[in-house]
Amino acid sequence: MNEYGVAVFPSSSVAMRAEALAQRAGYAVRLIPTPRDVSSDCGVVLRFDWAKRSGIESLLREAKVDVLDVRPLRQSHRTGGLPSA
Amino acid sequence: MIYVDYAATSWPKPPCVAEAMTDYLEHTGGNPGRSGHRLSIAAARVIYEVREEVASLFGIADPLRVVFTPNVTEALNLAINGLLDPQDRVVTTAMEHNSVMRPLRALEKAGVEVLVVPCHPDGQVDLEAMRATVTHGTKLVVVNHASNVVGTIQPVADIATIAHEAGALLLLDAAQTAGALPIDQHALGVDLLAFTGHKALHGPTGTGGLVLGDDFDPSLLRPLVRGGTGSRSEFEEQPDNLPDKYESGTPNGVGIAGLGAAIKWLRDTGIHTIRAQEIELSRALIEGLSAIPGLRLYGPPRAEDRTAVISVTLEGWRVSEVGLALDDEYGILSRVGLHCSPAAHRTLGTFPEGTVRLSLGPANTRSDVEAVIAAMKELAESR
Ligand SMILES: Cc1ncc(COP(=O)(O)O)c(C=O)c1O
Repeated sequence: MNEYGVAVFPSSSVAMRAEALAQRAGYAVRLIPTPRDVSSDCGVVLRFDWAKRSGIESLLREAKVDVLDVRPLRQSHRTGGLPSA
Repeated sequence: MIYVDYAATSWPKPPCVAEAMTDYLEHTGGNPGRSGHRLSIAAARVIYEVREEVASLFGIADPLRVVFTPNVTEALNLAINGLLDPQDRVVTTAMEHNSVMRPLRALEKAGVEVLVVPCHPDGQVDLEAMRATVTHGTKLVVVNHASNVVGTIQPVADIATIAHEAGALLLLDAAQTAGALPIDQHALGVDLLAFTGHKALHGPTGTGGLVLGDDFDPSLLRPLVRGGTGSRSEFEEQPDNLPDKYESGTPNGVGIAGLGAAIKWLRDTGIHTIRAQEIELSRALIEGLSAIPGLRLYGPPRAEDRTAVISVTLEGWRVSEVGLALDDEYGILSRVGLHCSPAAHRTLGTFPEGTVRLSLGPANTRSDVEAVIAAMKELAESR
């Protein structure tokens, strides 16, 4: 099974920008509801393949996207896959 | 029916606008950015995509610097009230709309120094007077990009240079020009650009925004409205991140979806193409109207120096009667009076009676223009 990571943003508008940038760069990502243990009130986080972490992080850094946190996703249930890029 | 009131609002809208709005209502409609389910995400995504459209339209790199508001009036109020404090100096022109003059006059009572630079009789700002008035210590310069009364296009880049040399910010009222003229916010030197969606952008009413230049420091700008943003709810203070700092309350998602479709339509049609057609029609209208005895034209003589907004008065006629006769007898829909711009009419010498305003758009044709000229000629002769 894939290991996922999530990127956490200050607002959904920022999350939308991150999603658009990542998709345009060819990454398979998905916005999911913010897990309870992630401290953010923004309704969504960006889930990605943890193996792609450094690429996604530098992409967002270069675009000056305000990222609050990047961390592995602890999953207690099956939560669906990533759409293909 | 001949619609020549584009400066008030564009009509008809491209069909894709209503389609996008229907689609949003029927299929997208969650509360954008409040919840994490698919309809909420879909709504937030639609709105984000329109931010990208607006940013690219005005040449801005960061789409999150596009702040949506219900119209340009609120965008101007946000900028003016959010930047100015008592004792600050603000400079504006004698061609402004009341959506600039009224907030400024209210702040004047609170101790803000408001200076109004005179304009030439055709509406062009007096650049020498502007240079003399915008002295060091001026905080803000506010300029109407093109007059809603006579279409006069201001030399924005020159005004920006004057403002920046004095250390002031430039706020542009692009109500009449967004969608009508190509605008590169950085090339023009505009720090804050206020636009409305329902005029030349061809979007629905209830849309507009304030675009913060990529170099503008948002810590200078207070929000106008504070409240729920769907972000950082653990704090009772307004968040600092863009655009949430300035966008409290559920946004007009359906309107913004329509605005996005309208901007795509504009891009496909080509602002340059529309502009070229409007110049041609304005030129024909100016030429035809100038030949009518007793008719007086205002504003720059060359169509290239104005948006497609032509203002006239007819000797022996009250403007309200001209408007009514055009509507009743010829099916020509114009707008008469002061157009919310007493300052501009003082500059033009048409205060307090106002003018008959004929404003053209992409759906107008050569035969519309000829019908307007013929109608004005008949009215002039029937005195
Ligand atoms: C120059 C100018 N500024 C401001 C406005 C106000 O526009 P809105 O009513 O969309 O806020 C208008 C149009 O009415 C205008 O022409």
